[in-house]
Formats: sequence, C-alpha cells, structure tokens
Amino acid sequence: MNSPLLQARGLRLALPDLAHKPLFGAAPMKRILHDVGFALHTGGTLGVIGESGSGKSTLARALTWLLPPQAGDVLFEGRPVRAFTPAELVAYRTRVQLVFQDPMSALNPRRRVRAIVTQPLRALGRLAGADDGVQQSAALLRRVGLAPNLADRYPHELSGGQRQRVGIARALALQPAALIADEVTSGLDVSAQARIVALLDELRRDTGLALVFISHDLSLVRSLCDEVLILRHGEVVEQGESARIFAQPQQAYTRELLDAIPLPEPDPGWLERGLPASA
Amino acid sequence: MTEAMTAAMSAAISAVTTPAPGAALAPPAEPVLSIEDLHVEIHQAGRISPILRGVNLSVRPGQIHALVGESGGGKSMVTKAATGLLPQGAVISQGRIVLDGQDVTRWAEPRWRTLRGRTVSMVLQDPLTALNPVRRIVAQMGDVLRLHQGLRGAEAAGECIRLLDQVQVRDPERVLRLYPHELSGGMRQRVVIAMAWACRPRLIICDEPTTALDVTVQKQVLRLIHRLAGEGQGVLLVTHDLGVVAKLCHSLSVIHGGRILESGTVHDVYAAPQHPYTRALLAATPRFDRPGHSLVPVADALIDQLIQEGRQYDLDRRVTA
Repeated sequence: MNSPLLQARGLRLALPDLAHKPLFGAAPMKRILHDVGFALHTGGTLGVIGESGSGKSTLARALTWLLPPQAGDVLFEGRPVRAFTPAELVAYRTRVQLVFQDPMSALNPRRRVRAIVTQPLRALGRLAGADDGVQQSAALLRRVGLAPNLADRYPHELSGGQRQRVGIARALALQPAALIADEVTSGLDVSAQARIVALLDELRRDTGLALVFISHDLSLVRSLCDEVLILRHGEVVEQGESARIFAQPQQAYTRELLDAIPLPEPDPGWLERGLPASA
Repeated sequence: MTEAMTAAMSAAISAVTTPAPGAALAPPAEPVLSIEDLHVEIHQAGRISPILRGVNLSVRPGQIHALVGESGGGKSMVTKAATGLLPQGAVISQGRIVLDGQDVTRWAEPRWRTLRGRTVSMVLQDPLTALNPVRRIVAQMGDVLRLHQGLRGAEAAGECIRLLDQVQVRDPERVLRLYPHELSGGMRQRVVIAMAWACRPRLIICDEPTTALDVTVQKQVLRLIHRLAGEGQGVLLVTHDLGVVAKLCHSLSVIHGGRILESGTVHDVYAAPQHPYTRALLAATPRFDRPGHSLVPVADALIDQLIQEGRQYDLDRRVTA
C-alpha cells in the first residue's frame, strides 16, 4: 500500500489550564491529547468520536498545526509538518482544510456567499482583483448541491443546512486533498444531517477526498466512515475498522456510548438500563 | 389530504386516548394542553402567510407527547402559541388553545404572565442562552421562587438545594454559587429543568432539550424528564430525533408544513407509520446497528415514496418561518 496521505503519530498536547491559574505565576498545564495516532489514505474516512472535552476539536487544530503538539508528528504525504518552512505550512493548509461546527460564526455575516466561498482563492492570489468570481462560486456551490443563485445571499438568509454547505464549498475552493470536518452536522435536523453526510460521501467517491469526520454522533460516523477512533480525556480508547468496532466493541466505554444511543424503536426498559444517575 | 389519510389519522388519534397494552400511559384525565384546529398566520408588509394550518394536539397529565418534524415545519410556532409567546405579526386566525382548563386563545400578555412558570414552563435547546451569564445560579433560581411562590432568603436557598437534588445535581450547595459558564452542558440543562420544575407546572414544554448534549448525558436528562412526568406533569417534547421519541414518549404527532400529518401512540406509529412523511423521517434517522441502512434526506425519500404510491403531495407548502 502507498504511504498514507495524512498520518498522526503519538500526538501529545497540553494547554494552560486557566481555571486553575494562581493569582501570580503560570497556569498549570492540562493534558488535552495523549498519544493519539492514525493513518488516513486518499479517499479514506476516519471518524473521531468523543464527548465534550475529549479533545476532538483540539485534534483538528493539531492536525492543521494551528496548535502545534508538544510531542509526536503529523505527516503529510510522508513528510513531517513540524519540519515545514512557513511557505510549506501555508501550502499544507491549502491541502488540508477545516470545516467548523457552527457555520453562523464561521461565515462572515456581512459578506455575500460569493465573496465567502471565493475568499480562499483571493487570499492566495488565485483570483485577480477585478474578477468577482462569479464562475468559481457558481461551480463551488454546484459542487455542494446548492443553486448558484444563492451566491448573492448573505449567510443569515440561508437555512442551517445550506450554511453548512457554504462552509464546505469554501473548504473545497482550494481543491484540498483532505477535509477535517469538526461537528459539521450538530445543530442540523435529521434530514439536513443526511444531506451533509451524503455530500461528504459523494465528494470522497468522486474526487478521492480524504475525510476526518469529528462527531459525537456515533450513528452518523457509522454510516460515513471506514475507520473510527474513540477519544476519551484525550486518550484513544479504541480504534480500527468501523464495522468491527460497532459490531464488537472491545472496550467498556465504547459499549457504554453505543448503549446510550436511542435507536428509533420503542423499548420501555431502555431508559433505566446502564449509566449512573447523577452528574 | 385524501380521505384514506384522514381516516387513518383519526384512527391514530383515537388510539391516543385508549392506551395500547404495555404502553405506560396515565389513566385518561382532562388534558393539560389541548390545541384544537389551530391556524396561525403571519401578517407582514401587507402579506398574509399561513404558518399553522389546523393543528390538533393534546397532552394529558403524566403523558409525554412528542411533536416531531424538521426545522421549518411549524414545531416552534406551536410551542410559542401554547406559551403566549407568538412573535410580532403572528395572529391566531382560527381554533383554540386550552391550557389547564382555561381557554387562553385570546389572552393578553399580563394574563399570560400569571400562567408562565406556574402552569406552563419551558426547557429550551440551549441552556446557555436560557440562563443569564452574569448572575449566579442561586440568584436565577431564587427569582423563580420569589416571583411565583414568595420564597425569600434561607427558605428560598433551601428550596433551591432541594430542587437541584431532585434533578440529580451532585453537591448542590457548590453549584448554586457558580455562574452558568462554569457548568457543563448537562449540568446547565439540569439547572434549567429544575427552574422549569420549581413551581410544579401542569405542563412542561421541552424544545429540543438534549440536542446539544453528548449521548450519555442525553440519556441522563431523558431519564429526568421521564421521572418528572411520572409525578403527574404533562410533557410536550419538541424534537427532530425519532430515537429520543421512541425511548421516552408515550405518543407523538408528526408536523410538516404547519399541519399534523400523523398522530398516535409511539407503539403504533413506529410499528406501522401511516404517512409517507413519517416513513421518510425514519429513513433519514441514522442507525449504527444497520450497516446497510444508508441515510436518505427527507425530501428525496418522500418523493420516491410518493412516486411509488402514485400520490400527489405539495412539497412547496413547506413553511420556512
């Protein structure tokens, strides 16, 4: 097999714990990621599952080197990102794009959709100053299943699902090799979720886009990802082929997560099974 | 709507009043909320757009009834009408709302204030916006107790602790002194539920109460809501999650385009959903236990279904407000 497109090895990351900062002196460091690793190939899909505070979003930032980890390596096409020159780092970030959870705060409310989705092209000088990017934005919007005439709208004039597609369209502007989607479906209703998942799956099949899909929704991860990684308190609880982990979870924590998912089938005893009561 | 569908719907509605074997329905009692043929219109810039088109719904004491549908289907409008919080320009043009035996359809704001918190209260999706960020929990819970029960000082503090204890918050004395941002999402939602529960309202409307929570925390909060209903409160749960409905609710109404398309006990509707839209919602619900189950967004599934059944359905009637 060829070398993986994106690889993480032994990532360790700690951040200052401001909640416990003494009045004078430095805040103690809090461990956020501890020995996290995976390999992602072109066209591959990795689901990262974890509850709030498990380090999912920090992992997204570490992978894009927005928060460089203290130890461990991220390798892109076999080369360590740690050794990249500033110019190489910019080039790397065009190849690995982030899509955020809340499109309302990730999209500039004062700019039209056209300006938003073509901004990456403009920032890298791939769109001349006079060019308003009508063609590029139309192509990008079509790519994510939106009507090109939405380019004239502002973000608040779109539905939640449409806004999230705009976020994806912007991430696709630079034709990345990998997309890191951080909770892109939370806050959407089931139907809008299904559309986003279908879109990501289609992009993967058509263009070989590799995907890191970060989510707390195990069912969505199951329907989209070949591999999963389960994070808890910054540590990998279990990782591997998604079919195996969902069918035969090895760890108690994974089973607990799976049991907590309400499947759409009436089951009077479900509520009282498992889990301690208080928080 | 075809005659066959109307017949199926009325059959399903009558099923609500006669509990199916095994379903944990409370014995029939006067509904705490009854909405009859409710029509709501938005009047804006000389245009009238219908938002609700004849909604029928009832919640009995001890019953957890779900209102299920996609964003824009009219779910929130129903909850707003039932709490007297319809936005400017929204007008009830037909039908009535009966809350705990009182016809509140034409009530003005001052009268509503006597009901909210005491007879009906709400738990919203995002507890961080429901709570005031610059006040400690004790002050916010204290407001509710002072306003509706006249409790002050040590008496109020004692009641706060008792309430937090009831929603299974560990170490309530400490939590009371904290600000909302110092709590986890699940803890915040417990505090909001405790506040909604403070005056033992007859009806609690929960609008997507667990959408923002992790699955394990979600399960704990669902248990809590279940326990509250066990004490005789009526609960109207607004959600798009058919998984949550299946596990928590006794009955449900499916809303789309401002209309109730199907109502019935959870048992009956899940066993044999009558309306294609209900089937489409189920098809869009992800299931980790069925690897072959590919998600179908609602509109697509619905269109497939309608083509198969050779039926017409006006998809453009979706309400976008």
